[in-house]
Amino acid sequence: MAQLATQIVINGLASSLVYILMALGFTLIFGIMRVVNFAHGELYMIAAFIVYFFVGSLGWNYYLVVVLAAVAVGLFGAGLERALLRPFIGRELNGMIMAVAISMTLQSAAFILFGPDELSAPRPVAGVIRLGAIVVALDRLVVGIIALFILAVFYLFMRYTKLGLAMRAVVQDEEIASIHGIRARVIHPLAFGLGSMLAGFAGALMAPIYTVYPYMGAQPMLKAFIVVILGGLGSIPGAVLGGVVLGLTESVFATLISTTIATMVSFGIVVLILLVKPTGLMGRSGR
Amino acid sequence: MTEVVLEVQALTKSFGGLRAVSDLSFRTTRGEILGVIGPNGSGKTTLFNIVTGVFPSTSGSVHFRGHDISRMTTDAIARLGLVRTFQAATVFRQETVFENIRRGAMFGCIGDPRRLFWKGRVSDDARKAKETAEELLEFACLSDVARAQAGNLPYGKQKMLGVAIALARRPLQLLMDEPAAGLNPSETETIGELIEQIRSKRGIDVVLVEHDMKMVTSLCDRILALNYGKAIAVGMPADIVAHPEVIEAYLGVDVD
Amino acid sequence: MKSVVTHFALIAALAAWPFVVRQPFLTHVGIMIALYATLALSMNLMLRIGQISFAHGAFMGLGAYGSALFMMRLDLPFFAAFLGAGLAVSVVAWLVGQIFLKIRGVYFVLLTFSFGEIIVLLFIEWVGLFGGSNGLANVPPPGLFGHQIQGRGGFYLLALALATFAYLSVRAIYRSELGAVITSLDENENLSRSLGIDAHQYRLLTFCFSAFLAGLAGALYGHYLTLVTPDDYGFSVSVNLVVMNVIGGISDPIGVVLGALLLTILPEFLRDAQQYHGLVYGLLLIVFLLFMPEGLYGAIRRFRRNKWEGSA
Repeated sequence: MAQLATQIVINGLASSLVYILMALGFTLIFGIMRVVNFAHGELYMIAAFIVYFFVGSLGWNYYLVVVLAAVAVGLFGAGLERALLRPFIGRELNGMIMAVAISMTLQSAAFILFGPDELSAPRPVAGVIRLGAIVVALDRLVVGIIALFILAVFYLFMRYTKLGLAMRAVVQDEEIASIHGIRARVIHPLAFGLGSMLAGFAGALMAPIYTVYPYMGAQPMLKAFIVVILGGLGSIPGAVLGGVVLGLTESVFATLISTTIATMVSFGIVVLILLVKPTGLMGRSGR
Repeated sequence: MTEVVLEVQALTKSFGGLRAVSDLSFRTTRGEILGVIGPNGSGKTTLFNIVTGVFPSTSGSVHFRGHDISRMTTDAIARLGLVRTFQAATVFRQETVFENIRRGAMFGCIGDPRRLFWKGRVSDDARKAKETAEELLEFACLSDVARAQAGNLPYGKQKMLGVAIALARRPLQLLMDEPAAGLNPSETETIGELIEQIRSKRGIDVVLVEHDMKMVTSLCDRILALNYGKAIAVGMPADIVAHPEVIEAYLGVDVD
Repeated sequence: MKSVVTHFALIAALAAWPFVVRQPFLTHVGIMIALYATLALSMNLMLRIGQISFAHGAFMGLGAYGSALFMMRLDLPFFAAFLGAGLAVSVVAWLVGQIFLKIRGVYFVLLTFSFGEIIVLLFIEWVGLFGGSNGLANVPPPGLFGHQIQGRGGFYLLALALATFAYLSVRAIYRSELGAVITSLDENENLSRSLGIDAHQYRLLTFCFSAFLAGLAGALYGHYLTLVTPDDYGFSVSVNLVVMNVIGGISDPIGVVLGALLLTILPEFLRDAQQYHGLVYGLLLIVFLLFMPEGLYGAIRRFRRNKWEGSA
């Protein structure tokens, strides 16, 4: 019984960590720009396709391409902010529609370029290791370790660098932050870029684990959305907490009943939280 | 003649550990203009918000003409005849001045959606609303800008419009949140005269939260002075102005 | 008076053309335009009170499943099933609206989004009632006055009738005092409430009528396809409706219908290049959001007004 439980947890661990990366990017973007980035899943998808193409077709080194993909997606995200989302600061609903429009466009572009088929990106490592009776797939272990590393770097960045502190200030209160000289024009593209980069890392890491196809971003986007609502839109520790809660809840329900019920329960929790405490388990009240 | 209109009893409001309003009681009577003064943080705004239904008190009660409005929402309170105006100019910016006032009159009839389905009454109400709007345009000296877009008016006129809209609603008592805020001296005088006429010509009672002491002392029958959420004095302007605690709370404020 | 005659002529022309032109494909497009016009108008009501609902796909689906089930399981005649489905959907809207409508802005959108997802998952999970992923097949055709309607011409007339009802009622609402209240709620809710408007009840009323229209459209859609499956009623439906509103023009019902017309014709004629459908949609939406937020109809009106002022 304990063995089954442990196996459940281990199986979900890599995915959970990746979903936390998605959620962090999503919540950072919302916290700083009040934009619900419906295109977040497509940023994930673009990175995955980059990995598919450069590692799969051109044979480049996987780890190198992960970093390149994330950076490319980050820059792309910053560009999106500058070109398409900046006019909608303060008009949250219109900004959201714009994000949906971007999402549609990117999905279609991928569809046109690569077709609807599910493609495979090669794994960086293969095989499993055994810890007693527990089986751990090596590629997921690698993904999990890299994801943890990125999370740690992100944490240190937000906690100890000037830029990180500036971003956290803006999340707390944009007006007061601007009084201290932190300018939206600089912070916004940076935040969107950083959030996109996190989505890019998530997509690049997951590319070899499952399959790569144009609509692959929808599920992770939904998961990120749920995680973020659970933890609180705009709350960074909340995203981590939410990720853990969601990962565990889904694992339990999916194993014991069915995946569909698991998703329904997740959305049900979202509805409850939005009604009772829209700021989530850890968000600040008021805003 | 001394019919009680608004009665506040033992009102207390705590925000976490902070007591914004503390055991406050007072009443207004028919036909009077009451002023509420106090330095920033004295609880004026909180009191105002509780009475107009923005949020409920922690304890205590508010009665309006005998009805217990302590737990009512803003719109329900407005339907009873207690209407508020806003400190910042609050109008329907994209509509004409005339339409703004007409809505004030019309909404007074259809606050509750069920009224809408009384077809006959609605067209009757609509006609009366137009008449009311015409009349109030004159009263508030806005006839010349009747067809202008409300959002384009100068700030002073927007505030006058805000008062006209509230009046169109035919309130029994008007609660005004810093009507002179943002106005220059001549505009302040105009609005002061308007408020006096509201009482004398239209028979509407007024409660006025204000900082402008000149306006308050010249206009109000009685003044309630607050500090730290408590009532420190209530009485006629002359008495209040000479009251030691009031002077202390208002150190440095011009009182002539 | 001239207006009444023109209106009658217009409706007569709209009703008659499929029987003159006699092209089944075009009639099909006509049916879809009418249904989407109804749906887009229902979304327009929500946009008027300043709220985007991503639950409208679910409302459409509930209407489709409802009407089919009323006929198939309860043996109700078509008109009763059809109206009953619409009413059932508005009751659902009334129930969830009690709590959902207390929330505004982005959070409301996310709430309706989650609600929509839950409903679609319910369609998939509750196999006994809704038929699971396969849905309900062999949905009985509508029957009016003893005749069964199975041909496209008949469906077209039904859809046209629904669209006309939707258009006229929405237009009547906007021209009435109710319309002034609805607009006021979006323009300045605080002011409206200070004047005694029960904002919550009015929003609820709007939400319920909007859901009613969406449910009716869904019901007719289900009967037309004779198949009701969960995939048709997801999040993308609501997105399409918003796109129609943005491109056509939010401020006038005619603009909304125009948007529905354009965006229904587009994919039907892009059948061969279906992968480009999403791309065109997305790019159009981006362009309109940035450069023509008042929509096509708004731009046309502005252009005509400028011409008037230019020549004056």
